[in-house]
Amino acid sequence: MQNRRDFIRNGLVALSLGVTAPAVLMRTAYAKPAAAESLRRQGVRTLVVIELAGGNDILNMTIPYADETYYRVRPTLGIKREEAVVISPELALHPALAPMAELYQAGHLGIVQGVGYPNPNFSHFRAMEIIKSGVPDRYEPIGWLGRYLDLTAGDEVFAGMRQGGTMDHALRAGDTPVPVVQTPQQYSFQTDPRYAGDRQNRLNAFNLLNSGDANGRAMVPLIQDTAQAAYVSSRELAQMVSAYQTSVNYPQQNGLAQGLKLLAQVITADVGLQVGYVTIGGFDTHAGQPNQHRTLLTQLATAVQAFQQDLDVHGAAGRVMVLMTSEFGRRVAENGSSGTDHGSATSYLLVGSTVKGGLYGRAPSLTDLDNGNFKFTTDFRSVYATILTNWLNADATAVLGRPWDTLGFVA
Amino acid sequence: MALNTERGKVAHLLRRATFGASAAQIDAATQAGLSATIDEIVSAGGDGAGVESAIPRSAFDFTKPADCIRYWTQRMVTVNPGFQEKMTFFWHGHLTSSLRKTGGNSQYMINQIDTYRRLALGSFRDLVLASAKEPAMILWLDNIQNRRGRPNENYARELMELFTMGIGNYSEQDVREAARAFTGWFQRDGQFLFVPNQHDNGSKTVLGYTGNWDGGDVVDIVVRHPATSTFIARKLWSFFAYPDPEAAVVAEIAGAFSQSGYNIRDTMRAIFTHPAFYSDKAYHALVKSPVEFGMGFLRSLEAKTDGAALAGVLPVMGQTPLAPPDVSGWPGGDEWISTTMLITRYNFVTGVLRLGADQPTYIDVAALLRRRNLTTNDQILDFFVDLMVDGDLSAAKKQVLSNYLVARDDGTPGSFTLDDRTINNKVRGLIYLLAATPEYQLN
Repeated sequence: MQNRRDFIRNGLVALSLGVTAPAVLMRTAYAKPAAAESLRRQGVRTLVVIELAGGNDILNMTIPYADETYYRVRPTLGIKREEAVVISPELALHPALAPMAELYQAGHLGIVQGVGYPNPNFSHFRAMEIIKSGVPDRYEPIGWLGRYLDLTAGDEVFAGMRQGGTMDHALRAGDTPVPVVQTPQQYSFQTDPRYAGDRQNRLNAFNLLNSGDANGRAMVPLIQDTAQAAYVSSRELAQMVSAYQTSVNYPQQNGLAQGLKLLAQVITADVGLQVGYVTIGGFDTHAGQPNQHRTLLTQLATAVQAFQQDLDVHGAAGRVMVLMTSEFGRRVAENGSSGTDHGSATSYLLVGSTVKGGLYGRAPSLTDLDNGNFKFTTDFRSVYATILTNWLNADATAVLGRPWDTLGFVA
Repeated sequence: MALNTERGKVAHLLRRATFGASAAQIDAATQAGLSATIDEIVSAGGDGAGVESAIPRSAFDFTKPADCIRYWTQRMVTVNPGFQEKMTFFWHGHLTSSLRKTGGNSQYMINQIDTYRRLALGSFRDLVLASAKEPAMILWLDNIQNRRGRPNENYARELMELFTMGIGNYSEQDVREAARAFTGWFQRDGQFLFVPNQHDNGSKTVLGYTGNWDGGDVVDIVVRHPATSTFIARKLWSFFAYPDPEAAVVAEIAGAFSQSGYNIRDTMRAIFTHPAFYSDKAYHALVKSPVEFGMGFLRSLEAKTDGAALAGVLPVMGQTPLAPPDVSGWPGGDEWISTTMLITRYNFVTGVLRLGADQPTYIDVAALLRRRNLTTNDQILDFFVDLMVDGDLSAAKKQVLSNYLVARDDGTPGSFTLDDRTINNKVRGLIYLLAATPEYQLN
């Protein structure tokens, strides 16, 4: 079947040869923004991934406050029992996460403990490659969410979306251009306003120049597909942004909050978003951890709180699940610089009314360690498989290469 | 295809070894020949002559991060031929540090870049050792916290993983032991400071060598490790020639690197004289980074600029000099291709082309045409297709541009008359469209 991208690749340059008026192009749904109504895809389920980049110190985020060992290995960094927000007999949250404790009490926060994989890697970059591809034993350029989109996206322009400046490995697909948007303000094609009458000529030529024969250059097909996706998605996003209103105040000066707001604009526009991806960086707390970690967790908690409220206001909360990941946790014992070094297992958090709240997986031992690091208890691909199977209704084995046990966190 | 002429090879070399060349510079280098051009760029090396008078440091306040970025941007866009500056930029992306972690002392980044520039073509061992002592590095990778009895392994890990050997060639124990060797390597007020009573004088075993090592010893051990030659050769080749090089090519370059005593200039000469550097596989095989895109655009079109127009949008385009995204630098390759990164490139070009002669940044299109005596639409099209994409454009795409040059506002074909309006609308529009081709994103 010829999809839209094939049509652009094969069709348009043929049209252009000797043709000066690309009026045909103008009649295609491709060049002309579809009416907002026709973009609507009711009821599509969405996964939003929040990546805590740098290796989040899970031990100071979800705190085993009842275990004396915790205070022994964290003599200066440990979160004091009286400051932590207790959510269960075993676990408390960092005080900055009070809004998330409320989610937990409401049954909308799931915590999968001890998440990792065999032979943990302590390099940020290799560890990210592993969790984002879902393939620990070799380098795999396609991400797990990219593989999912390749199976499901079809010709949807906004099946997936990355908020940020660069494509993320997790969303990198084989044949699905995924819009990458930093801010909607920057995301429009500007031409010289003094010659507004020439704008359409330029845009038509732009589309033709970004189609057709790759001329033998390996990178050209990817660039062309991305340029086409940029053109179409910028027009559609502008419509969504202008149609969106909210009564919720997202925190200013909080990049994650602004990123989630952009995803909310796309989700509430009902354009079929299946996967949104956003990153908050700075978790590599080798030194000076207490202030830095508190600041980051405050940003995280307030951003997620605003996002959930916004989805509620728009009646969209029931079709969105949030997953929080990080490439690894940190060393169990604190280091000598008021910080923590790279570690292994961590917890993945799930947020939403779509989540059956509670603790999942077995908490890793604080004493039975591997070279100072946690031994993992739950494979990260079980979390992925649960989301794919029970939330996105997808073929998890096709995405992950083999079956994995599922966990019960989907409501 | 296109690397079978002297001009093709010279233009390819200039695209890779510098931040871009004008038509006149490509002409002159073609006249001199490839071999002489390699000699001039690599062996003569320096491109600092007259920089201080052209870009006086006194005009910048390096305590302000924005001034640091603008200074270096202007320097990169100005100096000729620009090889030393491009190497400096390479080392900045390799031995990274960032404005984001200088404790408010942005001038440390300028100092570090000065050091990298001075050593950019010398001994790799000297460069790595100097980088370890740079205050910006000591702050960036927390060595300021690396004390006897309380080691912080951040720097030691990245030294092995990212700066020299590459992942898989050392153990976690090597990282922990090497960290002890760098204890007490601090900085104070922007100067390296060795604090003996914070230094661990115990015995350490790093990669099988045992002794009371300090940081300099560890640098020697890791630089001499065979994995380092391979790692650096592969990274240089991937940056300057093409990604995923064949093992045999890497081995040749790694051999040149180690046999020269880790001399960078000799290694670069081996790369630029290697037949594979001029192979089809190398041609237009790299994706321009935003810095290369912006610099190349301004330099090839002989823009007048104070650097501010580019420095201001590089963060939006995804590459802020002096502030890499993380310790591994900019990943490059297809990481530079995303919808938002393409849109910001196109919009940068639109913004620059709109600027008039009274602005600090200006492309004098009329003068470019006049100097070459270009008057017809075909002449103008050929000139810019050659200059901007090395003529590497399909006939169909060239026809699209040819049609554009004569298209009236309603899209119907009209005639081409070279007047001010045509230059400012159509010729500038042609430059915009060429900069927005997939081919122009390639280096």
